[in-house]
Amino acid sequence: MKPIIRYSGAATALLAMASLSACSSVAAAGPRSNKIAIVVASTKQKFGVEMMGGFTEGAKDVAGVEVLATGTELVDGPKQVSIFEGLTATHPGGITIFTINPELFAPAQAAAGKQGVPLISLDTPPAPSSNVELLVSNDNVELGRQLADTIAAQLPPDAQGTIVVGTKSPGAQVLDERAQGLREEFAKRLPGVTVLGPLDTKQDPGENLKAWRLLVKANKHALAFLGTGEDAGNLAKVRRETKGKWLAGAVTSVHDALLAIKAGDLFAVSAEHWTEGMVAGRLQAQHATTGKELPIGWIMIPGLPITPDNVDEILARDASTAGRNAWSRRMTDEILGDPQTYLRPMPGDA
Amino acid sequence: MQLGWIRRRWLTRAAAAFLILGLFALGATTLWSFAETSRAADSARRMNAMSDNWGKVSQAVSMEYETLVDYLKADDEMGRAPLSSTIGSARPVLEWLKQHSDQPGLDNLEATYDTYTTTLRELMKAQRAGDEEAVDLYAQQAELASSSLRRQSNAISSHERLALNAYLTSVEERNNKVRLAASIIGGADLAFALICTFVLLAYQRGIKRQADESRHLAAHDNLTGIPNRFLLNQRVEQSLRTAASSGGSVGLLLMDLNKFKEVNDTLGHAKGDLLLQTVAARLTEAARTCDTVARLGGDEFAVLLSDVSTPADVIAIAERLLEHLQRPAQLDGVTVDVRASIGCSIYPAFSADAGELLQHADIAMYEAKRGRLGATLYDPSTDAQIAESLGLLAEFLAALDSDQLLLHYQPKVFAATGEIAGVEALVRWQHPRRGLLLPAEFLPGIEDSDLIMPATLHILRSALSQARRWQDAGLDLPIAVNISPRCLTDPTLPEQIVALLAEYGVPPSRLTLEITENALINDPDIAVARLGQLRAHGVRISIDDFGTGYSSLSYLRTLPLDEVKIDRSFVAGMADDRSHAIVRAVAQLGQAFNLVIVAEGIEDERSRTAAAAAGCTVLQGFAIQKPVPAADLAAWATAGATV
Repeated sequence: MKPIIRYSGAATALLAMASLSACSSVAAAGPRSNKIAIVVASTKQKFGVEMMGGFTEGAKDVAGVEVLATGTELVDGPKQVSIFEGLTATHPGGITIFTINPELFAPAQAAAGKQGVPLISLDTPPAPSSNVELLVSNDNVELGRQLADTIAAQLPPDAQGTIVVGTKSPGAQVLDERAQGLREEFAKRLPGVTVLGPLDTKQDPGENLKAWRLLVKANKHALAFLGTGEDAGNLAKVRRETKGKWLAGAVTSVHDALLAIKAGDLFAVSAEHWTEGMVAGRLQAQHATTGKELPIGWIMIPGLPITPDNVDEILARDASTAGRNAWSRRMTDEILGDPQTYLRPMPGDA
Repeated sequence: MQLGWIRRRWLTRAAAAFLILGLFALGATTLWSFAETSRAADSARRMNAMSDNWGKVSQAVSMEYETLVDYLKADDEMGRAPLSSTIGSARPVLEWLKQHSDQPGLDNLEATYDTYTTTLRELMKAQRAGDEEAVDLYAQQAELASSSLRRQSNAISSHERLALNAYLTSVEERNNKVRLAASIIGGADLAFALICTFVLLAYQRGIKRQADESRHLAAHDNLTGIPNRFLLNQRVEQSLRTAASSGGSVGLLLMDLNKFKEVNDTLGHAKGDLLLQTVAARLTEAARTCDTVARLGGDEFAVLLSDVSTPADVIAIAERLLEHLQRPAQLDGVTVDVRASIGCSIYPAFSADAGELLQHADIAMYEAKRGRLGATLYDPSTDAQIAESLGLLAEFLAALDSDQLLLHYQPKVFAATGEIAGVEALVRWQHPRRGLLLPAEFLPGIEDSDLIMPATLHILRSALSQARRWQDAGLDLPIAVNISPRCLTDPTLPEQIVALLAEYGVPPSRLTLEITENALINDPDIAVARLGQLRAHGVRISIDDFGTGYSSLSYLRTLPLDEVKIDRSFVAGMADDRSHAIVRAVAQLGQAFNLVIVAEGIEDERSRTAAAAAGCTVLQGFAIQKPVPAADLAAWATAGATV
C-alpha cells in the first residue's frame, strides 16, 4: 500500500512544533465555556453523519463538555451560516464547521473569532478572510492520487483510452483537489490514457445517477469512471446495469460502496470522516475544559484506500459505533501524538 | 515661571534627537504608506483582472453552450456554422490565466475545457455522420462539462474576490495602524518641535539677557553698579560734542575719599566695599538726573556735569555733593566718618578736550587733598606746582629703589651728665640733581601718599641695621625713628617693626618711635592701639614736637608713652618767661608720669642750661651735635661724648 502520509520537510516540522505550542490569540480571549458544537453541511449525507458522530465521540473522550452536533439536512450554505451564528451565542466553548461553501462562512467566522469563540474548520479549508487558524482535513490531492493509484494498479501500464472523472460539486475545493490528484497520478502512471473532466455529475442522487448513465453511454470505450465524492453507489449501479467491464472508483466509504467493492464493482478511498470528526471533537473539548490551546495550522487526516483485500475489515469496523470508535481513536491518538507528521501549515501558507 | 530647566543641555539634545528620529520615522511611515498603497492598488488591479478573466471564462463557456443549443436547433449548415467558430473561445483567456494566476483549480478547469471542446468536436463529427444518438449523448455530456466549467470558474472567481476582499481588509487594517502610528509620531514630533522652539526662544532670551548684562557690566562698576570709567569717557566725549555745538559748558568733578585706605586696612575690605557703595549711593542721590556719577577705581569717583553755566555753579554743585556725602556712614554697625576731596574742571573754560578735563580735575583734586580744602576748582596757575609734586613722588619711588635715602644721626645726651643717651635717625635724600635734600623739602609731599609706609619701613630698616653695626662695634646706642601718623593706620605696622627688630637682633628697648601729636589727633583710638601693641613688645614710644598741637593732657594719661619731646620753639625761647614756664611745667608733668623729658632744639649753651634747670632730663640740638652720618656720629661718640 502506498504511504498515505507524505513526509514533510524539517521546516514544516519545526513550524508544526512551534504551532502546537503556540497560543491562538482567538482562543485566548473571552471566558471559557464547556459547550461545544459541530455544524455540518449535510446531516443526512454519510460524510456529515460520520463527522458529527466522530466529533461527538471525540468530545466524549474528554469529560465535562456539552456537545451539540447539527447542520442543514442537505447542502444549504446560507442556512448553515445562520445556524452557525446562533451557535456562537449558545456554544461559545468552541465550534467546528464543515461547509462546502467556506466563502459564505468567512464574515461570520471572522466575527465569531473576534468574540473569542474557538473555531475549527473541518474537511474544507477556511476562506482567506475567516481568520480561522486550525483546519482538520484530508489532503484531498493525496486522496485523488490514492484512488488513481488503486485504479492504475488494475490496468496495464501501457493502457490506452479514456478515464472519465465526475464531480458532484464542481468548484468545491476538496473535490477539485481530488480530481487534480487523479489527473496528476494517471499522467504519471498511465501516460497513454486521456482523462476527461471533471464533469458535473450533479449533487442530487437521481440526477447523479442520470449523469453517470449518460457518461457511460457517451464513453462506451472508457477504461474507468471515477467520482471525486460519494458517487460510488450510483457508479456501481450503472456498472451492474450495463454489465460494464470498466473500472469504477470513488472517494467514499458508504456501506453500499463497501458492498460494491466486495462484489468487485468498485474501488474506493475513504476520507475517514469519522476520524476527522473525532480529532476535531477531542481538540475542541480539551480546549473548552482545560484551556489547552488549539494548534495552529492544518492537521492532516490520512485517507484509506479500500479494495477487496481490506473491505471485510472495514465492513466489520463500520458495523458498530464501537468499531468505528476503536479504529478512529487509534488514528486520533497517532495523529495528535505525532504533530511532526500530521501538523502542517495552513494550505496557502506553506 | 522659572524656565531655566528648559535650557538644560540634555533636554535640548534629547528633544533635537527625538525630533530628528520622529521626522525620520514620519518620513519612513509616509514612504511605507505610499509603497503599501501602491502595492495594494497593483494587487487590487491584478486581482480584479484575474476575477474578470475567470468571469470571462464562464461567459465564453456559456456562449459556446448557447451556440451548441442553436446548433442542435438549426436546420441547415448555416445555422450550425457558428459553433465551429466559437469552440475554443475561452482558450486565450485560459492562456492568460495560466501566465498570471497561481490558482490550483486552473489545471482542473483547463482539463474540463479540453473535455468540453473535444466533446463539441465529437458532436459535430457525429452530426456530420448523421449519428443522431451520438449527437444527443455528446450534447448532454457537453452540458455536464459546461456546467462543470461554469461552476468551477464561478467558484474560483468567487474565491478570488474573497481573497481580494481579505487582502484589502488586511491592507486597510495595516493602513489604520500606520495612520495611528503616523498620528502618534506626528503628535510626538509636534511636542518635540514645541520643546525645541521653547528651547530656542529660551536660549535667545538668555543670549539677549547675557548681552545686555555684558554691555551693562562693561560700562558699569561691579561693586557699586554706577557707570565706570569706560562709560564716563563715552559720556564725557558726548557731552563735549554737545557743548561744542551748543556753546554750553561741561563740568567734571573728580572725587577721592580721605583715609579710605585706613578704613580698608583697619575694618577690612568688606567694610571698605560697603563704604564705596554708600558713597556711590549718596553721590547718585545728590547728583542731578542729567549728571553722570561714575566710579573710576579704588576710592576715586567722578561726576560729569553735562550742563553747567559758570565755575561758581560747578563749585556750588561740588560743595553740595560734599555736604551730602560727608556724613557719618553706618557700615554694619560701625560708624565711619566720611571725608572726601573734590577737584573740579570745566570745559571749555580751562580745558580744551576730554583728556584735559580729566587731567585738570585730577590736579584740582590733588590740590584739594593736599590742602584739605574739600572742593577745589582747577587753577591753571597751580599747574607747575602740582606737576612738581607729582614728579616728586615718582622720583621718591625711584629713590627708594636706588638707595638714595640716607640717614643722619643726631645724638641725645643726658642733661645731668652730658653722656650720650641715644641718637635720632633723620632722613636725607641724596637727590641726583638737587643734591642732599632735608626732610622738609620732600616729606610733606610724601606723607599724604601711599609711599609713606614703604619709606618709613626703609628708614627703620636702615636705622636698625646701623644700630646692629654699632652694637657689633661695641657702641650701644639707643636709636629713635620718626613714624608718620599715616603709618599708624596700618594694622601690620607693629608686626613689621617687631620682625625688623628680630631680623637685626636689636632689643626692642633700644628703639624709640617718635610720633607727632597730629597722629593722635586724627584717630586717637587707632594710634593708641598700635602704639600699645608696640610698647607691649618693649619698643619705646616718644611724643614729638609736644606743645605744638592740641597738647591734650589726656594723651599723657592714656597713651603708652615713655618719652616726651618738648618742641624746639619752646626750648629756643626759654629766655621768655612764658616759654620757660611751659618747659618747666611739662618737665614736672613728665616727671610725675615717670616720663623722660627731652628738650630738642638746644641751640646754645644758655638754652641748654635753662632746659636742664627746668627739669629736662635729655637734651638734643645743634649745641650738642648736629645730625651727622653714622660714621661721624660713631667717631663723635667714641671720642668722648660727654659734652
